[in-house]
Amino acid sequence: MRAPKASPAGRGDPRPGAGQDLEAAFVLPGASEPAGGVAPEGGALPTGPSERSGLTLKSFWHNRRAMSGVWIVAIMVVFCFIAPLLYRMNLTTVNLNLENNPPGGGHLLGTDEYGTDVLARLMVGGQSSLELGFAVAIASTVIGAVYGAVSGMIGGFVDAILMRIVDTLLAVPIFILLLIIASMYTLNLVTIIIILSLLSWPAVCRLVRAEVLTLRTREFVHAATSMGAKRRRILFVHLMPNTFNIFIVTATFAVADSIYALSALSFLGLGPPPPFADWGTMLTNGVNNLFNGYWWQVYPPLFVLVITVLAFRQIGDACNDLIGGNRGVVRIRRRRFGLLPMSTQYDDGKPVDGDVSTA
Amino acid sequence: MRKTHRLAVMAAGVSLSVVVAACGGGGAKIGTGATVHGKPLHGGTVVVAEVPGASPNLIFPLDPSTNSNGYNVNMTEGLWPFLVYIGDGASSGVNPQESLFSSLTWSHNDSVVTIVLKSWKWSDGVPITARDFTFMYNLLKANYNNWLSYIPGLFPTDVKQVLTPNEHTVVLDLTRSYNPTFYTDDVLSTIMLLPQHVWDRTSQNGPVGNYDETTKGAVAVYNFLQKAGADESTFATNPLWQVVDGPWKLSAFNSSGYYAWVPNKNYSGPDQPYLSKVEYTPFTDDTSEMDTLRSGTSLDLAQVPDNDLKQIPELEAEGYSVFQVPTNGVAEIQPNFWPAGPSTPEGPLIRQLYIRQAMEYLINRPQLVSKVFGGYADPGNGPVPVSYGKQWDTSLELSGGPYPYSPSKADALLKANGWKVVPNGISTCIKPGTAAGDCGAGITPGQPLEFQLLYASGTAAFDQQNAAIQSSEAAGGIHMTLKGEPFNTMVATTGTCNQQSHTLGACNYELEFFGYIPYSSDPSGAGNFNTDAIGNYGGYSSPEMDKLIDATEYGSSPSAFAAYENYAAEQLPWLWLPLPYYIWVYKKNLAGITPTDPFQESLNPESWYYVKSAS
Repeated sequence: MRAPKASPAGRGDPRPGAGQDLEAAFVLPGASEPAGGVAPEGGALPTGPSERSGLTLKSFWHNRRAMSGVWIVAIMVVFCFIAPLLYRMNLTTVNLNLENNPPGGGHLLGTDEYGTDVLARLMVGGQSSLELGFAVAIASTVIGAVYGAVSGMIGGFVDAILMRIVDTLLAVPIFILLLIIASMYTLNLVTIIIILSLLSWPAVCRLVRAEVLTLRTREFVHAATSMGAKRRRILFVHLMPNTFNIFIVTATFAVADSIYALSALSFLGLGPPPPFADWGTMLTNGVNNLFNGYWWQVYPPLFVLVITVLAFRQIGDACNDLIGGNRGVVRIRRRRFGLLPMSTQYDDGKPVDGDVSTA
Repeated sequence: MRKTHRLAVMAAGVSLSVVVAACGGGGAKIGTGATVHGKPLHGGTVVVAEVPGASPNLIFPLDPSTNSNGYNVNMTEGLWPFLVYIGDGASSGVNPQESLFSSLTWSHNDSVVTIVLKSWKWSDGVPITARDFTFMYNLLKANYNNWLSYIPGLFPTDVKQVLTPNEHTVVLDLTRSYNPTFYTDDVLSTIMLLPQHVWDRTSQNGPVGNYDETTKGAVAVYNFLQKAGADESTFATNPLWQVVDGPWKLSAFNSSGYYAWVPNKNYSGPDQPYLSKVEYTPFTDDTSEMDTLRSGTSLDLAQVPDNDLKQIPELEAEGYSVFQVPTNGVAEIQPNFWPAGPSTPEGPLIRQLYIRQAMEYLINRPQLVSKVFGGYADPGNGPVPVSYGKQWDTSLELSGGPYPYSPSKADALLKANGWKVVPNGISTCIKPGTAAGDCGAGITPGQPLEFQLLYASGTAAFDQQNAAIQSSEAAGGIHMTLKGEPFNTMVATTGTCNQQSHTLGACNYELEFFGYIPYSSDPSGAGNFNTDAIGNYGGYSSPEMDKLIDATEYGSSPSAFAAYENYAAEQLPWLWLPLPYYIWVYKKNLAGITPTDPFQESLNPESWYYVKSAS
């Protein structure tokens, strides 16, 4: 764990009555530079969130694992969003005269059973996977963060009620529920994003709430309170920015899990119907044809799916390590035999550094 | 009639004169099966793969109108065979040996039929008598509206009276003269005898009586039997279902669709089974079925998915033989002329013949035959498969049907009827109205030309076929979205719709594809296209069609049938599709599989046996 350090802002005069500017001095300049530098008058620096925050742009840049993931993701983004502009193929028209052609003859990775180009389909299929991954990550993080922060901030009976709701949602086997919904309704990308977002936020919520519980007793929060800051301001200006590290890690894993979820759903035949393209559907169809000798329909989507998910996990793991090393603010364990998605579980609600305050 | 059953799994026809199509899968041609020689062995179990995603869910053999699961008959026909058994090996026609009657005589200008029953016995030793026929008749007479196979105007409502001059004779006095061939092949082949001495009761433990002799009692008995027959947990244990007159008894069933037959030791018929057990095992999709087949151990008889024909050499190396069987039926997309809700916009679209014609023009059926089904399919030029038999073929169907693939004709049709055609986009109506050249009644200005196609999932070849249809329709400006559902789910949630019933939830579909409709024997339109027929799922109604179908029922003129066939082909009550043949593989030491009966809707394992060594 990195030693606490004082930020320049912490050297200001934190005396009450110093006005709004004074309070602003306690506002965190960034997630990686939180209010840990606030020095109580005549005393040692308070134990602030920054003591766990090793995640800086610089540290991230120099982390090989993180950067390898970033580079792969960047390549995949280019592959999925830029390359189709150069490699133009008709993916909406089924041409059975071209079905199951091997690589070559104008189709670098051959064609599938619909006569469409496998490489172009990989690119377009990746678009939906990445769009879904990022959308679910953002939506679930925002929902979970706000819900968790409000719950942790208010505390007491309200917190207990809100957390029981979360507990209930966490008890639901997400993928089974997703399968049931998918079997009842025809899903498209937007509905899958909405469903996954609505089902994924509880994990983020528990983490953020746990973090808020530890933060709200810190000196910088007391200081802001004593200077007249309102709850909303404390929540959104002082507390939530300090949970930014959690957002990064959980969002990164959410991207990977969501891509897996879409692929698994499509692999089971419950994804969006044709002509929607995604890697899971390609895999399903490819596996059907593997024994017919159409290897080019299986290995390419398998490769890009694995490499993309792996890249996001690399980034997430690296961020987590940078934040807290082996101990980590976000301690992550893998459910080794769990059914995807949501293979990432989080140890949450356990006070760290001697913090108290539970619901 | 059985034709109202959807996608009966085993309905298949063998015609030795069929020209075997080239195998599009790249392998050798598939033949119609070789005879396995060897001394029959008694005993052994044969495991049969069910069609992926579909399984029976009713054991009472008279299906209610709300249950159109064609797989039920596959399970029940071995237990309660039909009165008239159609098909003798590879030949069509009545099989007198297997049928339950010893003579069937028409008289009084073909308005009276005298049926003499064979002196067979039920499995509990009680003789089969005319009372078992009247029991079945009484049940249907009181409940015909809730019988899936009922065709308006035909059995049992066309019976003036039923006489039983002696224990084994039934005389049906009909309200009019019929074409005896039609009535025998397509009506009497859909009814079976029921054990009155066991089933004539209104509760499981209630006494057996003659309840069926009153309408109220017959309704109560029918309701009880249908309710008990739908309880899957007791299919194999309820004593009611253990009294059979067929060669088999049900020994096991579970809700996954697995079931097993064991021989009926008291079977009176000619074919005492050699095998000690036949098991039917379900699969969720054809990939899992192929995985099991490739293992070469646990399946003895199975269909090869059309998109996996390339793997036949591997299957042969695993000890299987292969044969192909043309199918006796008609494959189709069923348009719902009355989709749910009075304001549903698709109804007026579907009711316009020119739109159905445009849709049919945009289906490239020859390409589907060659690319999706590897050449092993009937082209689907109309309501009668051209591979069925020459006596039914018309020149219109033989020449490719009235609507061969032609995007230009589809385009011209739509434009001539007030549509702005947008290829690969949404076409819209720009000339609403009912005058010539307008879009037609009920179609609003700017209404998009779009539909949803609901289809039975689990079969890769059908996925491919439907995607190809969607694509070619889109190229012609008709937007079609696809929705796949497991077969059992699909047939449970969609039903027969017409102008009166279209607000029901079961009519909440626009186009549906569930496989095909099997024919009992003659490829008649009765039950499929008559107004208000239960098998007329989409609610098509045409006085002209009714008249032409009636003519095929009442007379035997070939020209009457041709007139019906051509009219149906042109009017498109359904959108015609290629009808894939069945490609079967079976263990090489299993004999009696071929030639397969083309007209029974179940396999005939009573004639199968293992041999010591395959030749």
